[in-house]
Amino acid sequence: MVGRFLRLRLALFRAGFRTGNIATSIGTVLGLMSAVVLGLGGLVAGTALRWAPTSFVTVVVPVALAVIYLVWLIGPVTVAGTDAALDPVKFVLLPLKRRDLALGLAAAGLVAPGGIATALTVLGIVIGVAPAGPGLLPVVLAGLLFLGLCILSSRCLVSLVGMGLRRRGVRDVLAVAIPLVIIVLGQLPNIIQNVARAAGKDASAAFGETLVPLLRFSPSSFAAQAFVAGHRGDVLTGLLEIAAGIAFCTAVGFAWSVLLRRVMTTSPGVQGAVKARASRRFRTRALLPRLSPRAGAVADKDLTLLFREPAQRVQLIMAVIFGLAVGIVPGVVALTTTGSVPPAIAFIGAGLAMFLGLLNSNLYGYDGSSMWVNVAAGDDARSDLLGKAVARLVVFTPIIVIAALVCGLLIAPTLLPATIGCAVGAWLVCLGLGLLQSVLAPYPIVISEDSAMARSQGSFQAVIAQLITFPIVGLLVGPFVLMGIYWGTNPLVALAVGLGASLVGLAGLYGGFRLAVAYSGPRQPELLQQVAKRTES
Amino acid sequence: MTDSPHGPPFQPVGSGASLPQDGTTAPGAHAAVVIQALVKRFGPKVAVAGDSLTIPRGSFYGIVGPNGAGKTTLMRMATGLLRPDGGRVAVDGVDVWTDPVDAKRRMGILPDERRMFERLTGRELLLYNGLLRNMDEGLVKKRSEDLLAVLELDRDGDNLVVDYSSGMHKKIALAAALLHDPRVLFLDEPLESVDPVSARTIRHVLSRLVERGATVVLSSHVMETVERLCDHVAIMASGRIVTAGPMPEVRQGKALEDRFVELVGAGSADEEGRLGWLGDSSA
Repeated sequence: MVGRFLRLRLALFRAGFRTGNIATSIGTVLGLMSAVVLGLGGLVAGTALRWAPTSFVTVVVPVALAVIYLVWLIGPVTVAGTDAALDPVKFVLLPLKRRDLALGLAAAGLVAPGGIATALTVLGIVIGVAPAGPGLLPVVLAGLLFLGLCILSSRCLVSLVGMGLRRRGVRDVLAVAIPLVIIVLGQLPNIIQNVARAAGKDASAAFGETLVPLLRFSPSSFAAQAFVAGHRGDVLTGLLEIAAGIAFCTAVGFAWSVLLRRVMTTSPGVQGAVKARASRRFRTRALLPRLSPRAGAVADKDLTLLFREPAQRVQLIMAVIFGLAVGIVPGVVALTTTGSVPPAIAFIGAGLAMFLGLLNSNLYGYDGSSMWVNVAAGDDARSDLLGKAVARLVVFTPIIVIAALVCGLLIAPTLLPATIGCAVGAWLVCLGLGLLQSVLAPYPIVISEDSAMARSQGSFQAVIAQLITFPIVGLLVGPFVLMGIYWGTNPLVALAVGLGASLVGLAGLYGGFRLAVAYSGPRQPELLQQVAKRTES
Repeated sequence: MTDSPHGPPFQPVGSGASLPQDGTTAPGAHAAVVIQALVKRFGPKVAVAGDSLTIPRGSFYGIVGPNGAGKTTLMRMATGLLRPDGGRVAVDGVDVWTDPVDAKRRMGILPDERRMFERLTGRELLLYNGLLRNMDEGLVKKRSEDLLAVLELDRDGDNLVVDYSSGMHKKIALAAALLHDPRVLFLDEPLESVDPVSARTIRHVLSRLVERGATVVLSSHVMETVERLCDHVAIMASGRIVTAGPMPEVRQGKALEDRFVELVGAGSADEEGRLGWLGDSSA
């Protein structure tokens, strides 16, 4: 049965090239190439462990395996389960035993970019740490154990999240939890090193001494310790670690197979329909009376959906979390770090603006299936785009301003006008580019039942959007950031930088808006077709 | 036939129809499907309120009801697609929820939603559907060609399912449901979006299936379809089976639609008063 799952996996992979969607085909090839490049990097780095001292191997292998394991855990539930071959709901009509389904899905999960990259890296580690002698056995088994552990844990977590997402509110909780985990883990090395420095210890040594014992609690440590034991020639310890790892995998596999059946037979939104709260009705035209009725209606509808539609609400929550992080984390780091903080950190608000800009580069994608209402009501691209832009400005601008304000106050109060102005300028340019991107290369987005995020049909377009956005924002707002960093201590310069960046931002937004209107005005039916078509990932 | 709009739940017909308490052994020889006290709640809404129903073997059974009556929820629970809050279901003598694998071997399902690999071609979809059912590859290919030809999909067999029209989607899903020659076939709105010629073909295929001893259960809100095809019918409203039984008994000499309106009631909105403005712009 596993072989039949693998045949299906490969058929679906081949089918990806037959959809006629060049962007999807290029995205698939790029994904594979990235996996091969990453995997080859891992293979080389792992192989290089042959020439490393054992003390280095005992630190690097547990850390590397823990990082890879973490990516397997967090990746699928954040980047969205875009893999139809791994969607258990697709198999619900078939008489498949739990074990067959779990084994088939696990095998199919490894035949994917992530699996290829991990397999190559693990192969590198096996080559790198394998001794000549009996220690080879636990090392090889550790490699296989680690691959099995990654796929089983990952799919089990996806099913657990999928089960949770069938209840309202869980998606919001994940939207808070996931960025917090990422931020805390990202800051962990800094925290360890700062604590070590404060205690007068060597930061690098303290990093290894603190982290490796902590990693013993990670499930990846069964394979890691088997690798290390095998490398030392301690076969018995290695095999005991393997046995414990197999027991753990068996438990995870059993839990997953039980979860799978429940996920497959529990409908989303089990709490049933609820009435929307009347208090969440927006009246944009009360704030902007000169807005046309249609633009006001579009803005009100988009504002309502930003707060109500699950995937967009996740974005909003993440924007707030990352906004808080941008405002507070650099300040905390500055306060706990000895010595001066580079003033460039005060401009991190511009980075947040770019992140939010990229989140808003496909404004028609979320409610594409309802766009026919706009088209049927008469083509008015200008009002539609204006309404969408106003909704985003109302929601995201305060987040960016507050984050830049807090960060600037904590790090370099004299740079405040410059930091706020640059963040706002970057946001407006990004939004202008986002409007243009939204009509040039729109793609449908659907809610994923297994991931906190929406399932995007246009990861390639998103990558291209980044490739275009970063240099343009850099070109337009970058000079102001540099001026602020080098001469911003002069209050007049800081003010001029802030005003200049904001004006450039306004010009960028206006330019993007005009171009988007000019392009999409005569192409509303084409736009509707691009965002309304339901396609499987 | 039992009328139970407000009374206790419908009891399965015949003494042999009840499910045994110990699990999966066959219930009555005449029952293809036995549903006992099925309950499903979505938050405060009771979608299916403890319904019971016995579907005789070899019958063509229609389940009708207005939108939101609970037909699809009942079908999904009966086919193992949606976990019930209470109650039991047996298909061809096998408990759907204690032995779902064996039960699904015996049934074919045309669900209300798209649960297919849409990136595959029609032919590939049938192939992998058969392979994952552990069928022999040669047999799968032979039956696939037969089904594609009969359902007039042979010319589109190598096109991607995602590019199929809604009607073609229904037909390929029906082909997938028929591929393993099920004993009981569950169809949720099988003729929705299907063109008249294909609908006629599908009706013919289904009737032939019943003639050869299989059982077909279909849900629909098109009375005409159910009245023409089915020999038994159940009428659902507000999560309850209002009446069920052989078609003539349920109809009581009236058209099914009239009997349906009589049992379920017609809309009470003041249509004339509220929509008096409609057509003013043309006057």
